[in-house]
Formats: sequence, structure tokens, C-alpha cells
Amino acid sequence: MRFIVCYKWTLDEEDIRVDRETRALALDHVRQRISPYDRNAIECGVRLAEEQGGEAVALSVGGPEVADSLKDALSRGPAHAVWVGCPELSGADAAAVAKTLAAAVRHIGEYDLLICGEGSSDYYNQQTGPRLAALLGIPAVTSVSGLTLSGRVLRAERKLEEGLEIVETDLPALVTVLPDIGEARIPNLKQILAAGKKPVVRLTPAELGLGPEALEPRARRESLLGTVADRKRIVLRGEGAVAELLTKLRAEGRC
Amino acid sequence: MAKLWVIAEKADTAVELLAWAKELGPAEQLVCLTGNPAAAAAAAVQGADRVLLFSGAARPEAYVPDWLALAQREEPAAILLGADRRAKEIAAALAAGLDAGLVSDCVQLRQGEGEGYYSERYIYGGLALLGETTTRRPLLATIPAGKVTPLPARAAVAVENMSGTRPDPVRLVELRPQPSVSALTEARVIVCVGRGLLKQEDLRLARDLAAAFGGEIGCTRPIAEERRWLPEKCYLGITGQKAAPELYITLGVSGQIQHMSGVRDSKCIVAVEKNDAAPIVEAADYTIIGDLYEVTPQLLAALKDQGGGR
Repeated sequence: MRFIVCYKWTLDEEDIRVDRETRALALDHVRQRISPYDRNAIECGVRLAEEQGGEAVALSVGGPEVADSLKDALSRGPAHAVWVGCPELSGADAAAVAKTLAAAVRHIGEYDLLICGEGSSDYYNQQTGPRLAALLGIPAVTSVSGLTLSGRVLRAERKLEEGLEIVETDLPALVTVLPDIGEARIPNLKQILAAGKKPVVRLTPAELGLGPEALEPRARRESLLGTVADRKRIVLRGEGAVAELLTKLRAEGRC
Repeated sequence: MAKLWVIAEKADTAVELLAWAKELGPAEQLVCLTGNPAAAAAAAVQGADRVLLFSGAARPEAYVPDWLALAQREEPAAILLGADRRAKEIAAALAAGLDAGLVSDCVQLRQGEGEGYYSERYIYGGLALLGETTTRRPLLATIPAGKVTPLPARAAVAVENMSGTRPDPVRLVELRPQPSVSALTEARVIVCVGRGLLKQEDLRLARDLAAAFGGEIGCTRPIAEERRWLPEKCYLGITGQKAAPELYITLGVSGQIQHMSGVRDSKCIVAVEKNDAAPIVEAADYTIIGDLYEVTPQLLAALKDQGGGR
């Protein structure tokens, strides 16, 4: 069986600084990493390949910066990686990313299950997975916290606001997985070294038959402003701190 | 006259989305599509000009092909949905079918220049607010609950029954109801614990403090999802519960952006934190720098001396 896992190379928001005066974001020198949700997705694909036989393939779409992600992704267990890259795909919207992924999946050809994280840590749109399934015309099961395969039937548990939904569908299908699906491994040195030798297929959208119009964003960015908490930021220390706090809270009518 | 669509399974979601749609285009025709008769009935008296009730499927996701075909014919200018997980899946499938933009967890939406709509949403775990204008129609958006007041009731419009559902490729085996809504959204005071709490038994300290203030107890994501000391419905954050209490008190919470984003609308934030360089100090109104195991008992004693927190 072939399990294709999609992942996104994202900025680590913990490194992003906000200027309190201008509310501008400092995005230089921000580390990038595989979106944490997608690490669980990769783990899920690799475990399924081990259980069922077959292979896990890592697939990512993005700008030139995605080159830095490949070794990390492959050290987590996939047999090989496919990267569709061009500068226009840096920060592309979910519509463009899903169209590019769909073209890449068609290019890969045979597959049984597509696995995506439930959302990316940067934009958290929660769209790419279900968009991709719709474009490929295969069933989508989102927010999956557990799954089993028996033959060509996928049984999945979805964690929804109203409860746990158990569903079945036939392969090929797509799932988006929650972190509950299983903890991601921390690659060991041997896996990291082996990752450098695994094959990587590099494609461009043009090679997949996608013109510039396919990647055109559906919205124009007007503003991006850091959120600044408008708080008093009063620091209380030492013995009188508790009494001082309660006095202030009472004065404000909070308690 | 353009059409604005609202797709909702729950009655309260339907009427809230109709209020959003009315703001977006006061003169447009508001159409509500649903698979739930209760939502159809509510929409029919609270804002919809047309209500389409679909039936025959075990899950609303199964109506996507019908809704897509209808959207291609009727060409709505905008399609609004709730921000629950089912709705997000439906919205994304429709957006892909219509090759349209979709604003997830939209917090602000209005008519922009020309045909465009202006929207706002948080990105980077709540660190930044992104404002965008759509470049083509339709616009799709998923909108969290609780931001607007539903429109006043008036004489009901007729509910049109629709049929012709295709079989759902995803078969429902079972739904185990397990409501995840917690008392946190309604609480006046919340005491939230974070990784600074060392043992599960020590939750008692937080419970006592919450009781003294007449409030509820909440936690950060690791306490619920990694340590599993409290149920998932207790965790607050951008991917968990969101709350805006009068008073939000944290014990041993460092103040990661993903957590603070879920409680950003709290009226007053008080932190008890050992580390004076923790981000919570910048995100709180008052921070007591100290060990929560010393400060919390002092707080409890002081509240007791003064006849409780209320």
C-alpha cells in the first residue's frame, strides 16, 4: 500500500517578535520547522506502512525554503519525498496549495490513503486536506483521532464538538489527523544519516501542468498586525503582594 | 440583488450567521440551507428570505454535492458557515468545488471595495491579525459563534423541502454523544493551571481558589492533552475553549501565545508565576512573582478573612 503524507514547512511562531509601537512582525531570523500537526501525520503514515506493508511518501509544496525540510521529513520514516516548489508558492493560499498537491498526487499515480495534519501551525486554515480530497474526488474524513484499516475499508474515529463519530469509507481516501493519532518520533542519529540518502523528486508547478492562474491567490493582503495585549502589566512581589492585589481587584469591582 | 448563503446544522448557528449576512449586505436575499428542521424553523423567522431544508442523509457532509450544484446555478456572492469541525470540512469541500477563497475562523467581515469582501482572522497561533480583501466571488467564511446578536423574530417564510441526495461515500457507523462544551464560556471567574503545577493532587489548590471566587477551573493544553489531569473540555487556547471572563487567574502558566489567544477578551488577567521573564507577565494586568504553592494559600487565607471573594 502507498500512504502519501502531506506536510508544511512553517515559521516557528515562538521566534516571531511583535513591535509594541508599530505592531509590525519581525519575521527575519525566525526558525522554520515541520508544522507540529504534520509530524503526527507523518508518524501515522509511517506506522501504517509498517503495519500494512508498503511505503510512506512525504509530499510538500512551497518555496525554495522547503529544501531545508526534506532531511527532517525523511528522518521520520518515509521512503522518499516529493517536493513541488517555486517562489510563488511561498506563503501561497490554501486554494493554490491544494491544487498543486492534487496535481502532485496525480503525478505520483497509485496511492491508497492520503494523510494530512488537521491544520498548519502558522495559518491553521484547516482547509488543505478537505480541499485536496474534493479536487481528487475521493472521500475525506477530517479530525481523525484514531483509525484502522481492514482490507480496502478504512474505519476512523472523528473527534467532533458533539461527540465521537465513527465512520467507514473505502480506499482510496483522505484523512486529516489530530495529534491524538499518535506521538511523533524523535529521529535518532542513524535515521538522520539515512535520511540524506533517500530519494527526493523535485518538481515545479509548470512541470505538473499548472499555469500561473492556478496559483493566483483568492484574496489580497491588506494588513498584518501583531496582536498587542492591552494590559496593565503591574508586577507585584514580596510579602504585601497578595493584599495589594486584592485591594486593586476590589477597587476595580472584580471581586 | 445578490444572494448570501448561510449553511448551518444548529438553530443558534443559523440565526447568528443570518445576522452576519444581514450586516454584510442589508439589501441582499438571505438564503439558509440546512439538514435540520429545527434550524430551518429558526431561520425562517429570524432573518432568512428563503429556507431550503434538505433531508435523507445521516450526516450533513453528505449534502455537499447538492449544495455545490446549487451554488454553481445560483451563484451566491458569499457562503457563511459555523466554525465547528463538520462545518469546516463542508466549507473547504465547497470552496474547492467553486475554486473560491475561504476565510477560516473569520472574526471580522464586511463589504470591501467593489465586489470584494474584507475579512480578518488570526494567524501564527493568535500572534497576528490578517486583513484581506477577496479578489473574486464567492467568498466563503467559517465564523465562530457568540459574536453577534440574532435578528429579531418576524413572520415566518415558507420552508422549502429539498430532495435528491446522493449516497454518502463516508458511512456513519455510530455517533457517541459527548458534549465538549464546558461551563468555561459562561464563567465570571476562571482559575487556570499550567505546567507550573507539579502534581495532579495539587489541582485542589486551583479548585479551592475557583470556589472562593465562585468560578470555574480551566487549564492549558499540556495539562489536558499530555498529562491528562483534566478533561479536554477544560483546556483554553486558540485550538481549545475560548472564554472572556471578568477575572482570569493563572497559576503556573507561562503565557504561550496559543494559550493567551483563547482568553484575550478577558476583562482582567491575574497571574501567579515564578519566572519574571515569562511571557505571561507582559500579557497580564497583575502578576504576583512567586511560587504558586506559597501564593495560592495566602490568597485563599486572605479571601477567607475578608468573607470570601464575592
